[in-house]
Amino acid sequence: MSCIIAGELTAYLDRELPVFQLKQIESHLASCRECRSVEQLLRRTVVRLAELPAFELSNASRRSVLSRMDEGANRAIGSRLKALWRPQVLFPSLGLALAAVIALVISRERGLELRDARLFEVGANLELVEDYEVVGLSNLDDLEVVQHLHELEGAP
Amino acid sequence: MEADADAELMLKAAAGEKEAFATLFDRYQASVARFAYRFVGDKARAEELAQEIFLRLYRSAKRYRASAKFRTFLFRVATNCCLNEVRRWEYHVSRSITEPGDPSEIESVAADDARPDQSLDGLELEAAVAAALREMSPRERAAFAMCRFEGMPYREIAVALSASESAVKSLIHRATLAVARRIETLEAGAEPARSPA
Repeated sequence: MSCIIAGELTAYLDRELPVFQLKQIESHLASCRECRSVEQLLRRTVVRLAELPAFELSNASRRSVLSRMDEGANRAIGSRLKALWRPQVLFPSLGLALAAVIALVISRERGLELRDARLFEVGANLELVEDYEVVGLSNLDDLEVVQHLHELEGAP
Repeated sequence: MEADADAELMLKAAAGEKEAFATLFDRYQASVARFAYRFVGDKARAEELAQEIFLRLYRSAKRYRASAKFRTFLFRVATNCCLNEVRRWEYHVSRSITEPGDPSEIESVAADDARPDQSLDGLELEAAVAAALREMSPRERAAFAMCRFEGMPYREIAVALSASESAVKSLIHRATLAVARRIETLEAGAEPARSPA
């Protein structure tokens, strides 16, 4: 569709445009059959969406959430730290920390030469931390997700 | 005023009043369940996801400020949970593509959710909408669900998605048009000519 207002038709339908623009579109619709047909299609669609069945949570879900809320409230910082002691988290973290320390020590010994390498190391660690943040660690599978996150980013 | 009442309940929940949170749960469970369902297209996963959303909401209650509308805060949490779930799911699906899996798993979503009391029309409509939602980007899906199923204004959706209002306008337009084409196909009963829009 070539009309410049075509991209505004949904916002027009939702009354999410300023009054002068609504009026502009109204007068355009009166003269453009193509836009009128799209506007009618969108309008019919919005009406038909109301026919979709409702979906509500079961009572079991309610009970589960309210009981797990207690778990959440009782889970102190100590128990969260405890989760970090799992080998899947602990060993990679220790490895990264060790690598950072080694990079720091070597760079001190070699002076300016390794400054970039150290920055790369810090950058890589920051990126990994960001990945953990993006996925949100809630179970063991998430570690695997983070490990392969960049494969996904490369995928079409 | 309902919105103020929600904010007050949330502040009480942040102070540890579980009753207040239970009231919010009862008030918004249908919205959250619907949002999660439209996002993942599977009732069992949506049920788990909705639980996760409420738990995240409860755990982040202390970060809530009454200056923010409660519903916007809720859908911000919900959108983040759903986006994470989609990333996890895509990861697992991409891993299982190389292994002999069950290719009908995703395609059969609408059929699995069929209820005996649903008419064929209703089932077809459900399947058409589900198919359109699957093809959308996660942000389009989120914006569409908030707008079409929750009736949220664009400004509120923009806050929930951390996007500009004009970006939200585009997301909703593309998504609504995609669903409209699917429904048009359904109504025509055959592959239609490409819509001019």
